[in-house]
This record gives sequence, C-alpha cells and structure tokens, in this order.
Amino acid sequence: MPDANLILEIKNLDVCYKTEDGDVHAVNGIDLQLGYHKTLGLVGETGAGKTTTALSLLRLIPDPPGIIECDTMIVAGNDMLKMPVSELEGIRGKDISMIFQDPMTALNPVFTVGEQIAESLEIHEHLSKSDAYERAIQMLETVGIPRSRGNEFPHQFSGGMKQRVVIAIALACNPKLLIADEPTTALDVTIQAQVLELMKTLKDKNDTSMILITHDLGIVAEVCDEVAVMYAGRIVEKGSLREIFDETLHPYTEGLFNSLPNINDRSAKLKPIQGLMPDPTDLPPGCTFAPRCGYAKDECLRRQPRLACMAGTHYVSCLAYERSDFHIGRGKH
Amino acid sequence: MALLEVKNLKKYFKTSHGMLHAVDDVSFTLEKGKTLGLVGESGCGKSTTGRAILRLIEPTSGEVFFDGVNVIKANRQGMRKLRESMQIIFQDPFSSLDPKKTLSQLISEPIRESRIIRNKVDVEQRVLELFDTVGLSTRLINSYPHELDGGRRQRIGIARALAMEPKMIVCDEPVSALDVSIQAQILNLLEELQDSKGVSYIFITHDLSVVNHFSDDIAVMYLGQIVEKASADELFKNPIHPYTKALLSAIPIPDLSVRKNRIILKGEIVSPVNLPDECRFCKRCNETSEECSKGIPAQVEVNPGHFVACFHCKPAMSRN
Amino acid sequence: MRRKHLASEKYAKRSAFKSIWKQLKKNKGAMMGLAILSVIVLIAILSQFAFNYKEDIIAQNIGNRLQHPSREHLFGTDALGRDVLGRVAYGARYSLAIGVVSVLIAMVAGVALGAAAGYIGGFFENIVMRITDIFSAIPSVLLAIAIVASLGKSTFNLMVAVGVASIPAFVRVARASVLTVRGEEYIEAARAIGMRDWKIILVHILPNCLSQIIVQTTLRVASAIIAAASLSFLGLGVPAPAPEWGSMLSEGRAYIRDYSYLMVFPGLAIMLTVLSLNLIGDGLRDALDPKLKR
Repeated sequence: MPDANLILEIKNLDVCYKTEDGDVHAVNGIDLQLGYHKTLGLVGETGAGKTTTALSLLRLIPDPPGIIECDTMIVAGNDMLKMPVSELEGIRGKDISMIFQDPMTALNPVFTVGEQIAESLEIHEHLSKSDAYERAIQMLETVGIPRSRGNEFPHQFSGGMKQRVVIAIALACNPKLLIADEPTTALDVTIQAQVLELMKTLKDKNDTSMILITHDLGIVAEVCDEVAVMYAGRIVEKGSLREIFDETLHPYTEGLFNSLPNINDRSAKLKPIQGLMPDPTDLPPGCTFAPRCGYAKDECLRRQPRLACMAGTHYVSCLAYERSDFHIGRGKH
Repeated sequence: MALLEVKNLKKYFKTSHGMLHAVDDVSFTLEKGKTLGLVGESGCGKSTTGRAILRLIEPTSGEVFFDGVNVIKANRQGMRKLRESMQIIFQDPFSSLDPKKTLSQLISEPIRESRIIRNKVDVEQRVLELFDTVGLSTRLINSYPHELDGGRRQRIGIARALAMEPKMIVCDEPVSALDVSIQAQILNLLEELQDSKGVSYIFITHDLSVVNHFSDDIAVMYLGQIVEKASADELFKNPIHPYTKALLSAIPIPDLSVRKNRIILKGEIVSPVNLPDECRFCKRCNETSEECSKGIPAQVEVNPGHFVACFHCKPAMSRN
Repeated sequence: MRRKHLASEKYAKRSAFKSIWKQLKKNKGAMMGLAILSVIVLIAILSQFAFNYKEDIIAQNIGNRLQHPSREHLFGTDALGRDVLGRVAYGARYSLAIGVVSVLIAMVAGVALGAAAGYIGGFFENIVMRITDIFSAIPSVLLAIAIVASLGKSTFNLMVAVGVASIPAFVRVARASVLTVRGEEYIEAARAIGMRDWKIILVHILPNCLSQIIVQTTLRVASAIIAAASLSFLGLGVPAPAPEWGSMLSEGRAYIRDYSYLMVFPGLAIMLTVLSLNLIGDGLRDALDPKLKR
C-alpha cells in the first residue's frame, strides 16, 4: 500500500546492463524513501550508480541493454512499474522533472530558450503557443534572466545562465519531484553559489521535493534534508543530514569525509581511501567495500551486509555493526 | 634568488570581437621547493599563464626568468634544454595521453627525447623506477591509456612530468577531473614528491580548498589579472579583495557546524575582451564605489607579503 | 642487474590488430566482402599459371568466335574467338594492380600534402586547399582523360592519371584528421618535452589519423577500379589486346543485343570487386570508429 506521506518509495531496485563484455550490475537492490517537500542527497563517486537510479525512476534506461527489476516503485502517487509508456510521457516533465548534468548539451541549439521552456507547457498543460510563451517568459524572470532574452539562442548564454534555463524548463510545469543530476558540477564556484541559492529559493516557494545527485558533500550540507550514500550500486548508509554528517557510521562515508581537504586546518594530512571502486561486471563477493575498508575482517569478504536500521531514520549496511561495541573513528559515539 | 621570476607577463589574442586580454600584466615569484597556487574561475587566465611561462603559448610581452635564464629570449636549442627542468601536468588525463602509445612508450618518451639516457635497458630501468615512484604496477607496462581509469592515467601524466627530473612542474588543474577519493591519493603523491625531490609547483586550480591544503603562497586571478597575492595562511585568515572574499564564501563546506554567510556576486563572468579602463571586478563587486571605474588598481602591499589590487586598500592595513 | 629480460617483453602487448579484427568479424557484410575479394585476388594470382597469355588470352581464333557459354567455354567466346572466362580471370590482374598502385600514389602524395597543410596552417594551408578545390571541381574522369591524353596510352599512365585524380580525397581526409588531432592535449604534451614539429607529425599525429586514411584507401581503390574501367571503356586505358574489364565492356557493346554475355561477365566482375571493397571499407570504418566500440 503506498504511503501517502512519501513522494518516493522504491523497494529493491536492480538495474543490470547486458553487454558483450559481461553483465554490468549498475544498481544492486536499493531501497529509497522520500517524504513530500524534502530534499534527498544521493551521494557517491563515479560509477556508484546514482545517475542510473535517477534514470530508472523515469524509466529512461534504454531497454536493451538495460534491465530494470524492482519490487515497488511509486513516485508521486504513480506506480512507475505498471505504467504503460504512453502514460509515462505524461508524467515526465509534469509530475517528475529532471535536470541533467551538462547544461551545454541539454539545450537544443536551434530553438530559442523561450521556445524550449514553452514546449514543456504546451505538452503538459495544453496551453496555446502564445499563452505558453508568456508563461515561459515569466519562468525566465523567476530564474533571474531578463524577459527580453527569451528569444535568444542557447549559445548566446553563459554556462550558469544555461543551467538556469534548464532549471526553468524543469520547473515550468510545477513538478512534485525534481531530480537534479550534478546540476552545478560543470559551473564555476561563484556561479555555482548563485545557482544553488536559486534552487533553494524555488524549491521552497513551490514546495517541490528534490533528489540531488552529487559527489560534493559541501553542497549536500547546504541543500539537503536527507542523505543516501551509494557505493558500487548499493546504498551503504542513509539518514538525516545530521545523522550522516555528525554521526557517520559507514567506513566509506568516513573515507569520503577524510578525503576532503579541511579548509580550516591546512596541515591536516589527507587520508584517501586506498584502491578503486570495483568493476561493475566483476563485483567481489561479500561486502563490495571490504577490499578497501580499513575495518574489514575476513567475514566481510564473504558475507554481504544488508541495510539495517541503527537509530530512528539512520540505516547502515555494514557487518561490523552487528557487534554493539563497534564504532568508526569519525563522529560522536 | 628565486627559482622562477615572472614580470609583467601579458598574452593577448586577436579575436573577431576584439583583443582578448587573457593574461594582463601578471607578476610573481616562486622559490625553490615551494608551491604557488594560482586560483580563479573560467576565463581568469590561470591556464594561459602556466602555459605562457613554459612557452607552450608564446607570450605577447613580459619577462620570465627560470633559474636565472631568460626563458622568453631562449632559442630553440636553449628551450629544449630548459624544458628538461620545467614540466607540466595536464588537467584531462583522458586527452593528454596519446591513445596509440603504451604506458612504457609514454613515460620513456621524455627520456628518449632529451637523450639523458641512451641505452635501451637503462631507459626501461628508469621507466620502472618512475612506475614505482608514482605507484603504478609493473604489469601495466604495455597497457594502453584507455584501459586505465582516470586516477591511474593521471599518475602516468605525473610520471611523464618527472621523467626528466625537472626543478619545476606546472600542475594545470591536475585533480579536477578525478573523483574525491582519487583526488586525495594524487594530492598526497604530489606532496610526497615535493618532500623527497624538492620539486617546485605552480598549482593551477579553481578549487580553493585544494589549493589551501597544498600551497605555500596563493595568487587569486580575475579576468587576466592578479587581484590578491599572499601566503596561504594569510589569504585564508585575512582575505581582503572582494573577489577573494566572495570566492571563499562560495565554497560549499561539508561541515554542519559552520554557519554560512554567503556573498552572492551579481552578474556573470565576462570574457576579457575590449574591457574598459576600470577595475575589472567593479561591475560585480558589492563594495564598489566611484573611484573604481577610474582606472585599473595597482597592487598595494597591505601587510608584508600580502598584495591586493583594489582602490579601497591602503598600505599596511588589515581588515577592510 | 638481476633482471635479464626486459619487462616489456614479459608482459605482452595487446595487439591493436586483434581488437580491430574482432570488431570487423561481427560485420557480416564486411566478412562477405573479404571472402569475395580473397577469391578475386586468388584468381588474379593463379591466372598467371592457369593460362598462357599468348595462347589463351590474346590469340585469336576467328573460327570459334561468338560462341555462347557452353561446357567448353564457360563464359563463351568473344568477337575474336577468345575465351571470355580466361580473359575475365586474367583481367583481374589489371584492375587490381591499377587500383592498388594508383591509390598508393594518391595516398602518399595526398597524405603528405594534407598533413603538412593541416599542421602548418596559414598561407601554405590555404594554397594547398584551394588547389585541391580546383582539382576536385573537375570531374575525375575528365581529369584522368586529360592526363592520359597528354601522356599517352599505357597501363602506367593510366595508373598515374587515376592516381592524380584521387589525390584531393586524401588531401582532405589527411588535413581534417590532422586538424582534429592537432588540438588534442597530447600534442601539447609532446611539445612540452621539446619534440620537434616533424617528429610530432610522424610519431603522434599520423598514427592517430591512420584509421581515417585506411578507410579512405579501401574505398578509393574501388573508385579507382571503376575509373580505370571507364577510361578503358572510352578507349583511353590499357591498350588492346589486354583483357582489361573496361575494354571488354567496350568491345562487347556492339554485340549487346544477341551476345549480351560479352558485357555481362566483365560487368559482373567489376561489380563484385567494387562491391567487396566497399563492404570491407564500410566495415573498417565502423570497426575503427572508437565511439561505436563496445
């Protein structure tokens, strides 16, 4: 029974790409929930499976070679698994919107920005061309671009402004859920600050829920309410912002924090995580992080941990916590 | 005497829109065994500065002295000799390696080119030493770049730069294209190399947290000019130029206990083409005043070793 | 020194050829083309031994003329009583030789010019490209005719003519490839270690342009064969009585109504050769395209 308080409920999502080099296990059995008006930060490095997860929410994974298997996937009240493709198109852009990573290539170079924002309105809200265009220009102003620039082409805008246009398109139909895939990675730091402020403002104004995919823990600290950390296609830790940052549990999450240069303490040595993320066609048995984990024991290489609740909303997937006396170096005990 | 002295370096490009002042009157020095961080966002000219010093791009004017030798005036022969001592690590580990060459060929190329070692067996010995220094496994010796991940490829870039035992390496955003945990590995490696071999670095980056960790001195660039220059400690404790302050406040901090007072800059980063004769930052500055549009501010020493290019600054002044 | 063997000998290199071959094998068309071409090449080589040139190929036998295909003469006989099968088989030698040599001439000249134009740029590039444009504007057959007309009719001159007409294609491909590669960072890396320009072109740029040039070469051999056949058809190619396919087409023209086999067999031969080369060329293009891999 779908929970009325949750805008997103995923149980046991599995995405596998069948290629000639082997089966790429991009996402391996993840569970996610998100409440209305909340922002979830999906954190991980390249290859963790964050983008694949986001794409599968909108069923944008190409069918060969990608195969989605899932027990439950309910987004904004829609059962995404049972929905026929024709209805899916009605949801994409309307109930659920997505912002992709690279603003340079997300916009069609032969249409003006006004037209591209209006397109979404024409399709989903069945507005006439002129009404849609008027609304589009209003959206442009909302994202801080003067009306007069509505009939300019994407190449006439800078990277930061292009990303604002992309945000305008995504928010034009007032979606319930916005998925933003590394929306500021390609932008300069000061522009990133502007865009993040904009996203926060719009999100609050429209009561939009958001999934923010990023590798930058600093952005997560600013924008998110909840965090899920992914590694090799699995969620290794999830919880509220405070739980993840101040009561870190999983060794990988700890490793991520330790890899960051501390801006307040110059001399602190960086403690990188040794090794590399495993090849998704050849995942190790047992815990996928064990080969790189400083706390790993023999058992970790054989048995796979499950995501278990430690306290309140804080979940961690680590065999070490089966012993009550275990704790990692970072955070409160 | 400083290892590197750059004086009034300029690089202008002629474009269809006008003259692009990519690097406009940049001066700094680098001491032996130290790291200078060159920080800024897109279009500030930091990469162009790095390349101009190495004459991978010919400077329009200015002087560069490396170990006492005039780099700009060096002829072909002289430049080849100089190149052995000044090397570069590129930003993109994917495009900076010839995809058709094996790792062994890539790393031995600088050695063979400079003919420091001629014997085939000795060359390979050196290649294997370098593999070891940068932490690459010997079994990769005949692999091709596309078979490796970004972190390993960047190690090859570092090995290549080290092959000729340079005194200085220009690191052009060496970790920007890498994942966080790999970044840390590479930064540690660079630090170890500096400790063991005494290599000097010009560390070009847009990421202030990385440059803080790594640099002795930092120069902040905006639209082709250095707006603030100080030791790393001083810059972070006491940033004076409005752009530096905005840059510092813009960095997202992964720490919940830090309260953010973000300075949001208005406007966009423009291109340094056909710029009027005024402070280049004044259009976006929150602290701008009348005098800012009257000309380009000169560098003022507000504290010993701490230079700021801002009309609001007077010598020997601390908080603005 | 403890190590006796070079480490580079201990760890085998992953051959570039093997991976290209693997990709090519997947393309059924290319494999078929390769099979057909191999048969044609085999016929070309073996016909040296199977037939005696003086007796079988050019000796006239008027009493036996214009025999339709039979058990004795599988492809029939032509207007001068010569066995068509033998002539078609022998003709493979001409077409293949002309195709390969002319394209080799074009490739060497074209790549050198195009690569230099692409790397040096500026005025030199401009001159080379504009001259190339002029040559491209002239229909290649006309150009070849003009060259043969001035140099005289012979197999070698035919090769030169077709070769020169093919140069512009190579100049374009080489220049485009060089322009693409020139901007790559690894070229800048080569300059950073002090490598001289000519060495950079040879060691770094050309190997990375090779795939485009190989594809172009294969496809141009096909066009060269057609060009040679066209010229021979017009009487400007290989002089009679050589059994070149184009000449055979020309000779058969007068008899097309009642003795169509005289044109069908040489025509089929040309078609199969060109088709197989195009199939291989397309297959190579896909196999060498890094974006299509995996």
